[in-house]
Amino acid sequence: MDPITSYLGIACLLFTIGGIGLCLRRNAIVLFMCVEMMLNAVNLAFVAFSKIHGNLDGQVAVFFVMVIAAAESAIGLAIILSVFRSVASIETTDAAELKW
Amino acid sequence: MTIPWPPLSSLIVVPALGALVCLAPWFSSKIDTKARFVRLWALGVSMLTLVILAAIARAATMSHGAVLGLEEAHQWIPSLGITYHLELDGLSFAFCLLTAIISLAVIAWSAKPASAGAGWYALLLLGEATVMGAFLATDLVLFYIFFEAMLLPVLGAMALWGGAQRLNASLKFLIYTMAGSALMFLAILYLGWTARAMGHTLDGNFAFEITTLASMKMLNPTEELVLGLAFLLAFAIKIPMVPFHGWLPDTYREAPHGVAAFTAALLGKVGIYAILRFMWPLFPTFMVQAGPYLAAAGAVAVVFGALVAMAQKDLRSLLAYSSISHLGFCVLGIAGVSTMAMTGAVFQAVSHGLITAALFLTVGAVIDRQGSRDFDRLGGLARSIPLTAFFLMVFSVAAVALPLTSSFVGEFLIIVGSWKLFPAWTTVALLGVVLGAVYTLTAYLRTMFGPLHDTDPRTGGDIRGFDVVVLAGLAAAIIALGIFPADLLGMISPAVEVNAVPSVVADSSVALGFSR
Amino acid sequence: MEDTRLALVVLVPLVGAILSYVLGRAAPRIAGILATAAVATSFCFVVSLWQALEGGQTFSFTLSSWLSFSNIKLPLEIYFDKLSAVMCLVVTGVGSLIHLYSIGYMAHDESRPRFFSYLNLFIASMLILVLGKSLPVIFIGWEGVGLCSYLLIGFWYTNPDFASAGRKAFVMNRIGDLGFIVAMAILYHSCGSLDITVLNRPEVLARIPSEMGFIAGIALFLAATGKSAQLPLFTWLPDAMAGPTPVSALIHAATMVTAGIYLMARMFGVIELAPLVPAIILWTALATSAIAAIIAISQNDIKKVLAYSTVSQLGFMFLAVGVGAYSVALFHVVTHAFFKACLFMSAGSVIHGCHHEQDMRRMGGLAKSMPLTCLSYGAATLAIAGIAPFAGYFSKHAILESLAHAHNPYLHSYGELIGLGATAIAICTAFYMTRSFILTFLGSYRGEGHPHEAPMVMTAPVLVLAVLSVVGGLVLNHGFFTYLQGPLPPVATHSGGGILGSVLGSVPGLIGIAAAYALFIVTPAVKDQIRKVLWVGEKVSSGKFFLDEILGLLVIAPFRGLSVVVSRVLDQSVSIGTGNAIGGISRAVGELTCRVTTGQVSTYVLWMFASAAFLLYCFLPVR
Repeated sequence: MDPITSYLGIACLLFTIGGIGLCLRRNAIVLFMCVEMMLNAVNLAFVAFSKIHGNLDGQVAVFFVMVIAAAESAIGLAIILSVFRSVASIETTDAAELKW
Repeated sequence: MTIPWPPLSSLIVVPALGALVCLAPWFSSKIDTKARFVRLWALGVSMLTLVILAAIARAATMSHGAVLGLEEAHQWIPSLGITYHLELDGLSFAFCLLTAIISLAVIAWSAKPASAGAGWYALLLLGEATVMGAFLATDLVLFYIFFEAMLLPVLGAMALWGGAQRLNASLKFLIYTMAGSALMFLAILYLGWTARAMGHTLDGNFAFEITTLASMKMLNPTEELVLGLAFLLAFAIKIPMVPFHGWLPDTYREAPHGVAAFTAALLGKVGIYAILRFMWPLFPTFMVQAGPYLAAAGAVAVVFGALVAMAQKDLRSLLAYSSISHLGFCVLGIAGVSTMAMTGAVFQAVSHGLITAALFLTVGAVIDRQGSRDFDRLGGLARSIPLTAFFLMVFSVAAVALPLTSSFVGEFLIIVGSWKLFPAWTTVALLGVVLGAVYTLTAYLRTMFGPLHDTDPRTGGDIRGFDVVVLAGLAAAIIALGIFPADLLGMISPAVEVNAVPSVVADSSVALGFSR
Repeated sequence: MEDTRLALVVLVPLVGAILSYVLGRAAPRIAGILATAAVATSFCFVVSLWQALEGGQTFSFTLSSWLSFSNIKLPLEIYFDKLSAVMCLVVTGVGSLIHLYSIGYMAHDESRPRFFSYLNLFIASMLILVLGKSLPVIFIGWEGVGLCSYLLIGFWYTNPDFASAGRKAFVMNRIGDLGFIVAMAILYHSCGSLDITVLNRPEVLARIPSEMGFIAGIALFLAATGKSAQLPLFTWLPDAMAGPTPVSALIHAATMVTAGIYLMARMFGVIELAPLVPAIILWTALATSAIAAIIAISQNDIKKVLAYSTVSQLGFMFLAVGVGAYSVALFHVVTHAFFKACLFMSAGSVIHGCHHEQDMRRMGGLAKSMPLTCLSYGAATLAIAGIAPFAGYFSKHAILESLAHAHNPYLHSYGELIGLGATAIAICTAFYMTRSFILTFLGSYRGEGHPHEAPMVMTAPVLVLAVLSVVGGLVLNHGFFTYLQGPLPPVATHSGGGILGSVLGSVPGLIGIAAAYALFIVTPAVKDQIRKVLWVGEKVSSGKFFLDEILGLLVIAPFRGLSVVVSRVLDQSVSIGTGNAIGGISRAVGELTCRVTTGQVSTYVLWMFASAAFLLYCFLPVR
């Protein structure tokens, strides 16, 4: 198999696993990890495409993604903490108030 | 582009700034002396607005002769062809005068909700500014903005200080009026877009200014019909015309007295004004076709409002439905091309504004004093509060259109003017004259006459002090307009003719039975 | 010719109305004097204007440009000609006397200032009515007197029945006013003017299309039926007796109720456009007059008898209108003002003297305790009965005579019937008036307490009117018809008809008086017999022909019902209900759609993926 194809295949796999996890799991921390997994799948794809096209654009994009992921986890964890404080749980089903 | 001095904008800017100042932190403190000061300030501002209006009218009559035709125009959003265009002619002047007088009266009226502070005056001044704007704007977008903005003060005051069902009533009011004006806004956009598409404007841009649009004659009958209906719906809800009056009983029941007076006197009048100012020039063919239907709607409203008013036991509801009845006459008057009827309709609108505001305030005084608005728990008050009874009699008499009060002038001109065009509907409307006497006198009888039913006077005492001045002033205005209406009529009629009549009359005056 | 005195005629009572209230609040005693002085002053101005009238000359005065704008000309202008002069003299003359009388009658009422203020306001309105130069100006007075009538009927407003009577009067008048407004609309569009001096010109009248002319005539008559209490709108007048007695004398006998006849006379050109209109007027008048006379026979309240008598006499005036004898009708207006005001004021003195007792069954024998009042009432009774040479004789005789000269094609074959009916009514009138005189003044006193004669301030004006009731007809008879020939069409009548004619003409009245005397004094037993035989008639008469009940069933009840139905069904259910339903439906749709948002992150993610997939499917070029 073409190594590039296998890189992209793994990226797809990771993305799908993350997505399915996001849909099925209830634990906020796990959801978070799923999101991270999806982001990293995208990163992998970026690096792979960078390799294909022979320039560094993809690699640069990865840095942006990583920075945003870091920022996101900082904010996200803070949200999870404050949700935990109010409902004493990190299950997302317990924090389903934010609707109509 | 003639900008008079003082500029027309000052009629909007002065009360608006005055409202802002009311909200300054210094005023909003709870200290008594300051609370008194904010009332004086608001009074001063509204008085100043009235003086400015008088000054403008005077300056105009001095320089142009009798007819007012002042304009003030600035570019506003050139890329969209939206202008800031104000015009004061006889038509606008009549309504602006009403606005200034009513605002002054409502601000001067001492009774206001207990919890209301400086915000009360801020909202009333804001209301004055926005209603003035609606009566002055000739650019459709500008008009639309004022048309919507004038809801805010009323809604705010009602939601903050209204009766028990205030939130429900506010919401209903908001949804009803927005439903109508949303369609109107689409119609406005369509007009502006058509003007550009037809390449009629000078710079190939959108156009929203009424005289520009009206002079283009760019609409085919179908477009006129659709757009005309969209406009008509907005105004039918605002006036309100039967059966679009669902918001009115709730609003008039729940709003604080002053706000109810303000709403009843002014908001509906914008609908009457706008039909004359915008619909007749823009959609002349549609208006001629719709004339008989409008006349029918007006006549039915007169009788309908009167019949429902007869069945009411709540004083404020009775006033609400009597408003529907009296405004039916206005609708009848603007339905057909007759200078007499149209002028009468404008005059009737002004007169109804004065009378209904006065009635709401007087009835408010009765209700506040007795703690009840139900006939069955009132009665015989003429003995305990003679001055209130006297004023209520004066305004009731004016409401049933006795000659030498302003409403007779309006109703007489409408009836005689419409007779030739719509004899059947005019006859139907006449029935409302009898029914009007029935419910008005019954209300008076149940409140003021009979054995004294005065078990639980809340505050005791008759109206006094400044309130007497307010009511006396309104009564004087009503009677003065009833005896010397010629000047105002003379101002209104040329404006009505310029606005509504010529586009139709030029070619088909005979066929329409055009009569003066 | 412009004349300021004309403005003063109206303005003085108007100012009097304000002053008598404002100053009267400080010193109630002043109110009556001020008000009386105001009307008397007005009377003096009227007399001086009347003296100045020569030939066809008229006076006018413009108070305001009023409804004049664009090319519409409807100024607030008043106008004084011979016809107005006659009415003004009656209004201010009789008005002053009644004002004077009221000072005594109302002496113990704490709201005197209000009373005299209303009374002066009434005089001012009535003067505008008879002085108006155009129909809208007449309408000012027309509505003004209606308002004053409403206020004065309900003067003792703490009694809800009195207040309701005022409302009834106002509303029934309003029904008539519809006719007035319709007539104005028609005439304005056909003739281009509402000026009375223009409207009676033949060339202007010719412009009115014939069917419109008919409607206008009927509409004007409808207005007159409201104000002048004719069928079907007369039931308010008996109820109007709730007001103080001077009010009944002034408004509901002498002046306001004759406004309808004045209007007919003013607009005679329009009335006669379609010959059917005078015919309708005549038949209505005959029916009203007969019904009211029959009802009057069985009334026990002294004021009610007089009220129905007024309705009946107004019907008599309309009889003259129906045959085109307008000046004859006005002649009866004048003499009727004398004797009916006199009757009412005497009745007022009786009520005053009997401690506010109005029921004749509790009176009787008052001739001894109130000789002056008895004298005046007697004189006026003879006048209304039509006995020569009392005032009523001349006018009644002229009416009966003019009925014989009718030219109307619709009445041609009924001449004898009408004449017979009118004579029967005249007999009836004499009968019930004598009955009331006998019950009140003869026999023995049946009430409680001690009746006493009224004070001078009350008896003096009554006596003046009594004298006028005696000699008024004789004096006026000669010049009256020729005097009014300018503004009104001439009438063919020869005054009184000599001594033999007078004796013959008095026969109906004498029959009535004799019958009453026979039944109530000589043989009361026969009276009871007759009552037993005619029990149905008595029921109908004392039940007032059940007109109130019929009107209530046919008009008021349907409107009440309609009001409730419209309010409950059309308003609450349909109009407001639809609005609420639309709101409800939108809310329900909203509730349904918002189920999509579960608050679960997983659902949102699923939606996100699905949408992303959909977008990719749409926008990615699929190879």
